[in-house]
Amino acid sequence: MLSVDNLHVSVEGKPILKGLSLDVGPNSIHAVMGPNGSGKSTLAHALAGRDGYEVTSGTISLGGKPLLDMAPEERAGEGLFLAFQYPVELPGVSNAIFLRESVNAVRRYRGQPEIDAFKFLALAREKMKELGISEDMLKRHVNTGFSGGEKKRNEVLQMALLEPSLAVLDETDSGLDVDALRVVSKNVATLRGDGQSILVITHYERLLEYIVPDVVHILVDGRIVRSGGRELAKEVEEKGYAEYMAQAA
Amino acid sequence: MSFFVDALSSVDSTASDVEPPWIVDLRARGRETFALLGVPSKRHEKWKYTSLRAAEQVAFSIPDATGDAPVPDRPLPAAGGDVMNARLVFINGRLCRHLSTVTHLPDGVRLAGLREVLDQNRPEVAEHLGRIAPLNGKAMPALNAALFEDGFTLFVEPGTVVKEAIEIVWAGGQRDMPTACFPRNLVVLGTGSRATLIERYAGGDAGVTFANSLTEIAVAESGALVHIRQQDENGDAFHVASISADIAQGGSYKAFTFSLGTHLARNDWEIRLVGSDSECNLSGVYMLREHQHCDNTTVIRHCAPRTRCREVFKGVVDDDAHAVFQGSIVVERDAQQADGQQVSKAILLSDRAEVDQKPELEISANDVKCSHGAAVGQLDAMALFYLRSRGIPEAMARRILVEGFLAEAFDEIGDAAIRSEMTARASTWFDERMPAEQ
Repeated sequence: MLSVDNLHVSVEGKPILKGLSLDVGPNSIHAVMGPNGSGKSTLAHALAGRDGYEVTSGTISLGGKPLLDMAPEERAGEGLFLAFQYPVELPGVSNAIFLRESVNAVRRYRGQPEIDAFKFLALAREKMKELGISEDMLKRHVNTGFSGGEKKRNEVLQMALLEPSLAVLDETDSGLDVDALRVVSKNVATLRGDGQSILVITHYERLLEYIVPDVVHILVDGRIVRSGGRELAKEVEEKGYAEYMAQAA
Repeated sequence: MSFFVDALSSVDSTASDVEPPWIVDLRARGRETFALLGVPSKRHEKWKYTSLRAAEQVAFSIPDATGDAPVPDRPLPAAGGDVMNARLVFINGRLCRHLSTVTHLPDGVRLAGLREVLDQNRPEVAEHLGRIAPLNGKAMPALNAALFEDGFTLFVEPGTVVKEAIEIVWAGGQRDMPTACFPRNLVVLGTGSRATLIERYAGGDAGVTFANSLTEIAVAESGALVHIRQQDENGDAFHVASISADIAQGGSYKAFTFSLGTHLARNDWEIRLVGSDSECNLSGVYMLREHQHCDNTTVIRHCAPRTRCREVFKGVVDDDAHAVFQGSIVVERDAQQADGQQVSKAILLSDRAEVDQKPELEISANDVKCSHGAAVGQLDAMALFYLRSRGIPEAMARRILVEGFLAEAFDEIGDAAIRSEMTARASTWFDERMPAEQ
């Protein structure tokens, strides 16, 4: 599925990821945990192909295809989805039009027929019902004036509609209270498709109580310093990152 | 050499003896004022960013008022909606009767050419023409006063509601020389009356044209006028428009100006909220490319208590184009509890494109609510990345963002049918400039 090998990424000339390697197999949930400044969000944005995240060496492949020469939209077509830590507000852009353009762009890329406005609406309504999202969210402008919980649920809705093979959830818990967190993570779990893998990027263990990982990786100073089962997350919750940071230094 | 000066001196020698004395006097005052001020240039504060020099150097000629009007040199824009609207069609600035329709108007509405009503010596024309737009300090309205030939007049009787939009089409006709015209328009809405006016500046297919129009608008107590202007002339056209409006107590004036065409467009608005509780919404969109220049200069004057104004201007500027927005909101001493809101934003699509903005608030009352915001920038990189991360190709993503950006201004058009007609026209601009498939 996803294979990251010896990835080095610099932002504004400063090295952030320093030889990160990671393999996520099909139908599995991996978590990357790390302290502030360890490179968690850099990993998420480098995977999605954001400008300014310069890959100085290493490789990324998805489903066996190398991603690094691909534009963000091509990576999305290949099955990568990034749920943003801070979903972007797009004033003036209707959520319904945004979602439909995005679904059809990905379908075109995958050689699937586009779906018309009517079918799209039916599909969106079905997913929104599962998510417990009010339909008027379609009429509003993308993320504009949305609460923190609504923004994250809109991300999950996009994930459900775009059917990625790998969803990267970047700090999905940030800005959510406990109740909203529970709802959003339950949505992630129920809407996860067959064979779909998830890479959860988070500072705190609490999200992993709802989205239970098969493998947990500890990211410190741009490298994975330890990997293990879900018990590793508990360990971090109790002891913090100090021990790993001391090792890395 | 200056075309403007030549045009004035040619009129001087053929001064009309058939026009009523008050018109002869108006023209004389126009000539004197223009002679005093000269062609607007950077010396004049309000003309710092817009130069008429290129127009001055063209040998324009003003079409002869006698004989048949020429035929339009391209199809006229289709009437909006399913309903056949009343429409006046002007070719090279002169009313073309056989292309115009005035049979669909309710009682209490008079829509006619200015030349016709002047020939009929109607007293209401003498009462208003030249009163709403005084000439002091204004060169282009003065030039118009000296040289105007024709235009439209609309009178709506008190209490009359005109449901369907009234259309004015300005088209070009075949001529083998650069053509200038000086349209003069008058709109008078009676107490409690309502009307919607759509002006379509369609222009002609070929050749350089120059239009210097002056529109005077009076809205009486509780009257409401919606005024849409669409500038879609060819890329060789010069278009200088002055619009002056007086809004009486409880009256409302909602104007929207959409500029896509012309080589150079200058829209000069002066709106006076003379009656208490009157309001004005003056908004617009400009979409510029190549070497186009578009200048929206607005003055909204709050003269009475509880007057409200709102301005939303948005534009997208590509290639070497240049946009100007100068917006003043003036609140006079007696205009307590006035509310004035102004927003002007532009997006640059090229590093050679340029935008100058000059928002001004001049407040003499002490209990007012006024704000303005102006911004110029590129498309937001994070927003672009967000759309692309959802599989949307870059070209399409850019278009979605620009359309969304302009939507805030288009939303100021209250009538859904007119709004969708304008956004459909904007879409064709995007199809040409920002094709989604590349």
